[in-house]
Amino acid sequence: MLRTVADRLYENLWATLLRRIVTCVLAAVVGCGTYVLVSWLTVEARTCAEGVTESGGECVGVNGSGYSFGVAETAPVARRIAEENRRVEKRPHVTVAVMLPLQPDSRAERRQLRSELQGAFLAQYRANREPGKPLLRLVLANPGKDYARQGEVVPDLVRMSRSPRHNLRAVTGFNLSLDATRDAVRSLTDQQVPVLVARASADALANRESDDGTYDFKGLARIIPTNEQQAHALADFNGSRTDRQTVLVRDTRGDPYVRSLARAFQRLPEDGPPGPDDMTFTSEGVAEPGDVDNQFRPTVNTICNSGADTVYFAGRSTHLRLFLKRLAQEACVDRKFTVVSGSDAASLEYRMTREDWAELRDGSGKPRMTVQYAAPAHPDAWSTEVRRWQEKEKKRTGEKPSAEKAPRSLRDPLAELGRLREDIAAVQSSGEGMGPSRLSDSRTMLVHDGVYTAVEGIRGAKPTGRAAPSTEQVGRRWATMQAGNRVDGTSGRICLTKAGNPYDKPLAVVELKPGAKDARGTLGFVGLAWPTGERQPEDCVVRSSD
Amino acid sequence: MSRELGFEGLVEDGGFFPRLLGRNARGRDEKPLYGPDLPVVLLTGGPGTGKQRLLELLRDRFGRKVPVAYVDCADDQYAQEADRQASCRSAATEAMYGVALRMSEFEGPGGALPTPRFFAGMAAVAAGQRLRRRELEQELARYRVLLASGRAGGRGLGRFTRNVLTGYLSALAGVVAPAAAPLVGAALTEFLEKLERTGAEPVRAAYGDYPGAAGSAATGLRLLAHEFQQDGEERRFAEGFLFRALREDLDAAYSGLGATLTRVGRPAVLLQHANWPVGRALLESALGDRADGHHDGTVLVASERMAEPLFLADEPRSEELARYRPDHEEPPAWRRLPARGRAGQGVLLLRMPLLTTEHIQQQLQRHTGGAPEATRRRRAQGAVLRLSRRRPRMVQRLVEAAGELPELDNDRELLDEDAVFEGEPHPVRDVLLTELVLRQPPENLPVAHTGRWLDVLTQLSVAHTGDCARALLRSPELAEIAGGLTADEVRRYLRESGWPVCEWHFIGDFGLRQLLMSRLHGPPEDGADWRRNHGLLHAHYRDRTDSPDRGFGTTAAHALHHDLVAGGPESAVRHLAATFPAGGVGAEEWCDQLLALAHAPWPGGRDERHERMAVARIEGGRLERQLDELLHAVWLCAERTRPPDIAAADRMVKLLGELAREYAGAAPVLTDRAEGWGRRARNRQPLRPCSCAADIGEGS
Repeated sequence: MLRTVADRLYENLWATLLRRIVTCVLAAVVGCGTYVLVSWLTVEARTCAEGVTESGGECVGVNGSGYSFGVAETAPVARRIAEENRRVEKRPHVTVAVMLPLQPDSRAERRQLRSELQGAFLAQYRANREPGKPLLRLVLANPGKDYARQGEVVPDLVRMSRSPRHNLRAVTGFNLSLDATRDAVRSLTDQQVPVLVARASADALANRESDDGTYDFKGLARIIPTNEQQAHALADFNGSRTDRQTVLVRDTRGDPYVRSLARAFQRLPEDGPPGPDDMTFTSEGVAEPGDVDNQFRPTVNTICNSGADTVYFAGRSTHLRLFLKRLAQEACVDRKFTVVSGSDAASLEYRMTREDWAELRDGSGKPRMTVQYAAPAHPDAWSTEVRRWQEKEKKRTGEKPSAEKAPRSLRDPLAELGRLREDIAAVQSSGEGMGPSRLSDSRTMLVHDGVYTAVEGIRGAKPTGRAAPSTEQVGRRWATMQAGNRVDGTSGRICLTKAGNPYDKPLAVVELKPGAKDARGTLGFVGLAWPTGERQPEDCVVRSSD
Repeated sequence: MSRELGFEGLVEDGGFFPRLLGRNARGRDEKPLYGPDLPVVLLTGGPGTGKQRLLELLRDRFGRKVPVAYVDCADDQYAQEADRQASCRSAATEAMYGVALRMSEFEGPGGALPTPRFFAGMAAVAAGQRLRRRELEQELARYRVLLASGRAGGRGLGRFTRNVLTGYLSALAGVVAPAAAPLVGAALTEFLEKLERTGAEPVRAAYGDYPGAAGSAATGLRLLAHEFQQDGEERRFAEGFLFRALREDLDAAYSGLGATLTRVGRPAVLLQHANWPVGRALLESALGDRADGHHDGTVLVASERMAEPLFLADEPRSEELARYRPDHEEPPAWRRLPARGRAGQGVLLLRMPLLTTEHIQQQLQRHTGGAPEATRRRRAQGAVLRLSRRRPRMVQRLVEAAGELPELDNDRELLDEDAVFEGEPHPVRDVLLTELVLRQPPENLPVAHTGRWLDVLTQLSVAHTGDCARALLRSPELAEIAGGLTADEVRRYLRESGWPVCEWHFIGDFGLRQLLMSRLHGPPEDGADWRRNHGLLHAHYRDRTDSPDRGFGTTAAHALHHDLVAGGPESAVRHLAATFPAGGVGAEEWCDQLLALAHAPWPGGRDERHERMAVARIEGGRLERQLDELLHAVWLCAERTRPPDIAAADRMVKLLGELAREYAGAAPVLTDRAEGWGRRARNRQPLRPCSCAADIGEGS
């Protein structure tokens, strides 16, 4: 029976060369058809939204049509972005992608994300309302948790950069210094897509300054000082300490941010006899508490028994919170510690609950410790600094000068921040708003500055008579953005070196203020720290380092 | 019997014929054997070896997969069809028309194979004759079907059909009466001119090659038509050329892009009875063409009776013909060798496979339904094996006859059992003689002798040599039956029929001889003709002065051999006693005589030999009695239609030993024979080997 059927099939499908050819062609057609159908069905089944597919339980991809990746907190701002996109769609425009993990697990992270997206939208809002062409279309790119699926998104972005319909000219965002983040930046820059890092501070995500014009990442710029610069700025801000007084607590997980922060703290010049050895702990992830609290128990005990009063904490804000709580609980009553950390501590404010804040206060309501870190920006920085400058001038000359006379490095950001606040007010009062906004965590300001710098770069690179510059032109443009071509950001004036790094961009040294009883704590601005030790030059011309 | 029995290695997947045809019976590709130059495969084997069954099997099993045309060259329908329009047809052209027709009807891969060259040739032959207009139109209409193109038929062929056929027929429109015969010639001219003009390139090339045409197709066709009108060699040549045109048509249908895409395997022409004149003509022309370098891709398989066909026999050659024995070896790596002679270089002689003991066992098992009588089945199996000599047709019929597992003393008794022939039970002897002799008369036997052919053979079944046969046919008793047919003619016809030759027996095939003897003897109680013929031969040799005889030592011994059958053992025993070499002189010759005498067939009736080998019945001295016993023991041992008789062998050895002890002079020879004969008898080997027993062990 089987043999007969096989013979009949052979006879009808394979007996002659012609039949073989026809059979092969038909098989190929059927095969391709099945493949197309199956892929279509699978894609349909896996589609979260336009351009976004389900992958490993996440919705990964690029979208600019209002999809908020299922996160309620970011839905209003995503819709505003889509609205703005539709507004510019018919006019000459370029696209800038914001690459951030768009489906965070914790509430704190979701709020941070909202701040970041608000910053991006505010930059778009502003760019599309001031003179200048081309207009800006914004798309959100989700590389998955911890950038793990960046490999699925990067090809889409590269395709968009080559498509005249999308005209993608820069990718910004990048809020975490992880190996996957670096891979994404590497992959994008290798394929001539300009990248502007807004918030990731690891040294590994920056080009080293070079005299011969060869750089690790071609077409990369950043607007946030690296960890090393942050550490220097902090050290410079606090003056010299003796080694006996300091101790370094660092995370051993392979996290570029943590690694570079630890390295930066270790390199700080210190005098006197050596203090306690580095203390280590091992976390499971950026936002994973794990058993880190347990690991802190002996660490804190050791610190209490040492002579140290300053703790350099090279870790993520999730673990910093646990460390602070542990430090507060252990009875180091006779000493008041100063804990110094990096820019990720800016997220601390979101992670602290009322109870957490309460633990950081002693019985009389005073802070048990000083927590200090270099935030990339602080909304109070410019007004405070201008005021201080005025007071300082008054002391010097006996006459309080007008704020308009203040140095441009303080005055210009102050003006920009004012404009941003106006934009926020305008946006919030129009339509459905964009969700609650808060500038104190610096994320809105940083991402706003990132997107806006990208827009300025693109507009500056646009050859006359052309609707948009090429990606290469944008990538080359970063190196020229200094002096008159600088961008006045809300986080400071952005003057880029040839390697694409911000030149002497100030950091805001902030302190955690546990606040009064039953109240949430706040971040208090302490002062500005300059990575070079000197205030940014007035002309914002990059000085040679030697 | 299944149609494939014995042909497993030839027709099953991967076998010789699937590879030769390039396709197996299931339609799958097979790695083609030989090519592009192909041998003509001649199936050789006498009657009953399955040649026709094999060719029909090839036609039926492969005919749907590849174009296969089957022609029975002995079929007189070709001659009858040719006679209807004798001036422009012949039996050979009718056979070719049959092939072309079959090709045009092929419905397998690639569809019909058109034969425009053959059509053009036949059209020219017809147009060249003095036919009436209507006859000519009818004749052309008959061949027109050959132009039906297959699915792969090219546009060129369509154009050819349109231009040539319509143009030609319109040219004939003006021919109205037989009186206008010269006009037909004019029509031929016009047809040929049209052929030249309309560019039927393949046809032009084919007929431009006709000897004397000098590249002009018109001249070639004219010459063809002219030569066809002649008799003898010229017509034969024209027929041969038409066959070449037909094979070129098949080649053309198998070449080109369309054919590569749609055709599979190789086309085949199967010629049954190729030893008949039509087959011989086609075969010789194809072999001649191929020898001249006109190689073609048509598989030609033809059946022949003789192991080496006569038309190849006298060719001068230094290299053996290519042979293939499928039951013994793999297909040989055939190559055309000039050293094999002109026609012989193009043939591959395939000896028809005989059945194996396992085949016979299976067949018997099937027919007896697995009856539990193991001894009787073994006995029947031995009888079938010995009588059939593994010849498939004989096996088939004898197995049918042995279906009831009869009690057998002598194998010949099986021949009286019934087998079904044309729906009626008949003694298997008559069935086999009908199938093997009556239905397959020698092709050269004059029609006048056809009716007596079997009777003559029957009478001659007792003869040993040509001299015996001549003596019988010259005797007044048999002269009427012979009807002028001489013994030498009979011997030639037998050889041409493919029956084997044996130096000891006039009817060289053991099985056929037993059939004929059985027919001659008739029922056990009869045997008058049998005794008469033996008596005639006894008289013939007795009357001749005692002179050397090739088979029997002396003519006296030869006479006594027949007397042993016709008159009983007395004379033979007394002769043996009289010539007994008591002193040892002539002991070997005496032993040979004893053996020759004892090779007499048992005359039928109750077999007393077992008793007489134990207790002599002859009256006489001790020596006579001893020799009486010895003769009967040796007679039993030499009998080849019985299973080996160990008791007789032991008795023979014992008696020879006694004689050796008593007669010291003859002792060395007698002891030597006792040992040799005893060993052969126990080992189931004939005591005196001859050709008709050489190819087979005696079996159980």
